[in-house]
This record gives sequence, structure tokens and C-alpha cells, in this order.
Amino acid sequence: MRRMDLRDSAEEAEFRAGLRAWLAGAVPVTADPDGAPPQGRWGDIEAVRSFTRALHAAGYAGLTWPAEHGGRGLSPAHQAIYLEETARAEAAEHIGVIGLGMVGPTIIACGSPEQRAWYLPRILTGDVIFCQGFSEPEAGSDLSAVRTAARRDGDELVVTGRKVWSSYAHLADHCLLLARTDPDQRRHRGLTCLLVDLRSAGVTVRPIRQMTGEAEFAEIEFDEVRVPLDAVVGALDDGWRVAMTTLAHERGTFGFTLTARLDVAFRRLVATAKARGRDTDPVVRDQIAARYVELEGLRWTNRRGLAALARTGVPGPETSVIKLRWSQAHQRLTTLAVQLLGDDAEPDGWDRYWRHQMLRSRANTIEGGTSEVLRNLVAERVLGLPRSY
Amino acid sequence: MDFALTGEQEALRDTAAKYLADDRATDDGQAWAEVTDLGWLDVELGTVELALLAERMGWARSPSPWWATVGLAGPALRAAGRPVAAPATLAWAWTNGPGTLAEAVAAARAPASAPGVGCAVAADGTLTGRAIRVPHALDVVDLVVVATGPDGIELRLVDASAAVATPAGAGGQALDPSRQVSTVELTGVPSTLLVAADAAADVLALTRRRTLALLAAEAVGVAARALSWASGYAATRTQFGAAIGANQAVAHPLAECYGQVETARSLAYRAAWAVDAEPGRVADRAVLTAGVAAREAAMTACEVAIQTYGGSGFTWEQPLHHWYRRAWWLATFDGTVAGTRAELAGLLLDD
Repeated sequence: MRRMDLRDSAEEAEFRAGLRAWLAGAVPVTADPDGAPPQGRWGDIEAVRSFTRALHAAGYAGLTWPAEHGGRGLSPAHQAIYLEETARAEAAEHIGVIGLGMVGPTIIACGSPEQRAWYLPRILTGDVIFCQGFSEPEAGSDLSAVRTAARRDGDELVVTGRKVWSSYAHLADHCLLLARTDPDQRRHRGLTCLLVDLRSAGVTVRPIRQMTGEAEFAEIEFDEVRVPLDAVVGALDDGWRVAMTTLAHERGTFGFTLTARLDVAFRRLVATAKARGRDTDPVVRDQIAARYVELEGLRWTNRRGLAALARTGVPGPETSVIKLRWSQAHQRLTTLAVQLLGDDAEPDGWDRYWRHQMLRSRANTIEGGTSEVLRNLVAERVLGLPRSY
Repeated sequence: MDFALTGEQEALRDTAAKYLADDRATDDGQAWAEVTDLGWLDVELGTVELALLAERMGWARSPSPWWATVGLAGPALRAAGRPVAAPATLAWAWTNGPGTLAEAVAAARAPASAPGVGCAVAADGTLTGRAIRVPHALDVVDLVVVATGPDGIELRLVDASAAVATPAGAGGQALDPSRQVSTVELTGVPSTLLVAADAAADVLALTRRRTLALLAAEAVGVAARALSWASGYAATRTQFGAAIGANQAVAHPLAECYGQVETARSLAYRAAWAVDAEPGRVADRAVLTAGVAAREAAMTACEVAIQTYGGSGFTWEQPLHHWYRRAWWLATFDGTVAGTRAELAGLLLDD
């Protein structure tokens, strides 16, 4: 009989130990001399590329992808362990996070045999880097309002329009694009998903400079870009279903990614409090404990969700609040960290690091579903309240 | 890793839900016999199973001394090889001794540095002292007492009828009249040794972990009930021609509340699991974490529910205030939520 057991199974423990040992040798030391972490997750792009190659060579790319598509065919629980351990080791992410987590699984589910054969191995090695072209200036929370047009011309589609808030587009060479192929249809109908080479004529990628000063997002302009018809994922005009497949994959173990990052941030918060001698202040101690309670709430709710996923194939309703609560917890944590820095110590790398994190965290309640939209979803779909908009 | 309830655990929870929805569950004399018949005192039940029952008791706002029997008194009775059958509770807070359970554990751990609790064991084994805030003192048969013997703190059993219990506040004056606390006077009361001084600290530590885990689960039940009422009301109460829950100003606090309740539920189950599976520091951290999250969730959910109901939420007739009182009782049991955070901070920052 299955029993509730919150420890790793013997097999999971072995996977974790093997990964931890591998990471100990594979993760380069990137911290500043004062111990502060490097700025941003993509500070040294060459280091991220070479770590990606090492991940792939060691068999840690595509853990949950089926073996026939070059993955390991492992469970979401293994993916969760991978995310926890790489965060603990402060390792870089695979350079193709969007390809690996979203586009690849979409191609596996909806793509043609030719698309699978060409894209999947290259996503795993990091040779093809995807971004996602869904949001537009007039289609943010309401994705079904996309206007980017893909007009049929013989055996090609001609794409014209503008995508925004595309994460990592400045690193990417390919884009999973959602465009309107049938101008006479409204909303969810008449949309198509396409795999577009960003090096095609007519594509312009403009990084969007954020309040942090860096550019992790970009605007992509398509001006009469010619895309072969065989770049369509699934069927023409069936793009909404394909896009929902992509977004569903984002929600699978994404909570573990977020929580693993928060775990790292919490350990850094404690280190900063001690380094600046603030860990004896009762107010600071109260706040640190409160942040820990938030972190743990996310950690164990992820695991409850994973158990539901393993049994029913879908995560439990409780996972619908992970991103909402993570974003608030992270903002509170970075705000506390900046307050801890104080003005009575010589500024060092930690001042730079936390000020950057604090500014960056402002986007957390906006990106990947605004908190307002997420509350609407919980209210309607979980609590059964009437639609409010 | 498998964070899911087993079929047996789900069945236990569902049976409890069905039974507690019945009026019989609030009839004192009958209720205890049924708690026994349902097997809720069985030694086979682990802390996860007890937590599932406690959650349903919170949902029903049960007045039963069951939680005190299995949580506060159970570990000492079991350690002494005695049955846990009659309603029982624990007296640990003395007018001139430890106040919280944490302080009682600390006093038992370091008898040399502690001046002793305010209840002394005489040479003939009788007890004399004055305990405060004893839960269910008027409802129980057995009273487990934290007392100072010749070798340090020990746990002793007295017949509750030999103690003089005076309720602290009565009726509407009590914070939660369904969970009365009393001041208990012991004057030369005969007692039986349950746990000697060398083992009392460990038994008290288990008592505290078990009790905090059960009360966290109960708080989740309280929170979930309040949220359920509020969501139901927001979906059906009509003003300006539409259900009030169609307003985001009404709906969004309920969505936030749902997130608070579910994360607290995860932490409460995890804490209950840790009490049995990871005794020691892991369990201490887990029960404190759950204690903070669940008690805050109960308070917030009741407050949001009262606000959602509007004027009727403030009336005596509307039952919400009973759950709000229970939430407050939980939030101030064995110290405040802020005190729990302070203790947790010690575990996170000081070793």
C-alpha cells in the first residue's frame, strides 16, 4: 500500500545524490570576491552555454522528455529534484529553458515527425534557442486578442506584426509564434502556431530595457516575414489549442523552479542579515521567520500538487496559487534584504546584488500572468464565483 | 516522495466529516462515547491521522476535549503504558512557573537552571500548586500535571475531580466558550507518577509538537470553513442586480485567502508527518512553521468572511463569530503568532 512519505524514495535519493555529486564538479565558481552572486541569471553567456553542453553530455537535459525523443523519460518528481539541486548548487540554467520546458514538449505533443527530428535534438544540446512570441501590445492578459497576421501565399505564410515581452528573445534564434491566419475569425478561432527562424529577412529583435537597466525581454517585429507552411505546429487555424498545450507545460513543475530560486534568495537573505549584523534585531528576526514560512508554504504545496499530478495527470487546484504567492513572497524578501543593507557598512557586491533583485522582483507580480488575472482565475475556477469581467 | 493521503486516511477524514456534521457531535455525554466508538483514541492512529481529524473538528468547531486528550495528555499516558480512554488534559502553566509549553519543555531539559515549576510533589506524592489556562479542565476525568519532584520535572496523573477548577471568564465573556480554559487549584491532591524526571523532557517535547501540529490542522479547518461560507455567500448574495462576488474587490480577497489556506494546509500535513517521521529539530521547525501559517490563515479567513457578509456578518445570529472566536483562541494558545515566529527565527538564525 502507498503511504504518505515526504522523503525521497530509494531511487529518488540515488538520483539526487548522483546529481549533487556531478554538480559539485561541474558548477563553476562565479561569485564576486566578496561572495556576492553575479548580476542577473545570464551575466556570463558563454559560461551558460558551456554549462548547457555539460548538462546535456551528463544526461541532465530533457529529464521528463520521452526517451524516444532524446529525453530520459523520468517523472516530474525527478524534474523537481533536478530543480532543487541545481538551485542549491547555484548552477546556471540550461540556456534553452523555454525550448526545454515549453516549446519542446509542444513539438512532442503537436509537431510533425520532421519538426521533431530537426528541433528536439537541437533544443536539448542548446544549439537551437527558442523564445515564445505570444504577447502583443494589445494582447497581454487577453491572449486571444492577437493581431499579428500570417497570410497564406502559395506554400508560405507571410507574417506581419509585433510581439512584446518575449523573454530571452535577444539570445534566441527561433520563436514559437502565435499568429492570426484567418482574419475573418474572432478571438480563439483562426489562430496558428508557427516555428519561425528569427534570422529570416524582415525580423527585427529590439531588447526592451527594464527598470533594472538590463534587457531580458525583447520586442520582435515581423515585416512580411516568409515562413514555409511546414513550420506550422499542429493544424492551420488550430493554434489556440497548441498554445494552451505550451502554457500547460509552463505550469507543470514551474512552481518548483520558482520555489528553488526563492530558496536560494532566502539563504542569501540570512547570509546578508548575519554579515551586516542585523540578525539580532527582533524586528528583522520576525520578518525573516515570516519569509521562511512563505517559502515553506510554497515548497510543500508544490509537493502536494506533484502527488496529485502523479495520480490524476493534472496538478491539484492548490497549485493555482503558487505563482501568485511566490511573486508576493519574493517581492517582500528582496524589499527586506535592501532594508537590511543599511547605510553604516561599506557598500559591496551585496548592495549591488540586492538592489538589482529588488528592482527585478517588481516584475514578478506582472510577468507570466498578472496577480489580478491569477486572482480572477482562482475566484472563478476554484471558488465558483461569477466572472468579473 | 509521495505527499498524498492514503485511501484509509481519506476514509477516516470523510467519516469524521459526516459524523461532525451531525448534532450528536455537540451533545457532551453522547459525544465522548462516539469518539471512542469511532476509534479516534486508538493507539494505531499516527499524527497525520489525528491531524485529519483535528482539521474536521476545526471545520465543525467541535467543543470536544478530544484534541487535549490525544495531544496534551496522550503522550504522557502512553509513555506510562496507560490507556487513553477518558477525557484528559494537561496542566503546565503555573502562576510562578513556566507559562508556555516551550518553557515547560525547557525547564524539564535543564532542571538545574530552572527554579522548578510552581507545583511541588510532596514526599507522600501529593501535589500542591495553582495552574492557569488549563484547557477543558471542567470536561475531563484525568489531569496530567507538570510538577517538580526531587529529581526535577516529572509528569503525574491526578483525578480531575480532586482539583478545583474555576473557568476564566464565562459565557459570552470567554474568548471561545466552546473551549473554556480554567484556573486549577491543587491542594495536597494524591497523584500517580506517569513519567519520571529523566524522561519528562522528551515526553513534553513530543506533547508540544503533537499538540501544535493538531492545532495547526484545526486552524486549517476553521479557515476552510470560513472561506467556504464566504465564497458561497459571495456567489449568491445579490446587490445592484448581480452577485456581489462578481466584484473583484469582493472576489480577490477570497482568492488570496484560498492561497493562504492551501499553503497552510500543506504545512499542517507536513508538520503532522514530521512529528512521527522526523522527531527532533526537523519536526520542531515544521510545527512552528505550520503554526504560524495556519493560525494566520484562520484569523484572516474569518475576518474576510465577516467583511464579505457585511452587516449580517457582525450579528450574533450569524455563526461566523463562533469560528472567529476559535481562530482567536488558536492564535493566542501557547503564546502569540509573533512569539512563534520569534522561536522559529531562533531555529533559523542561532545555530
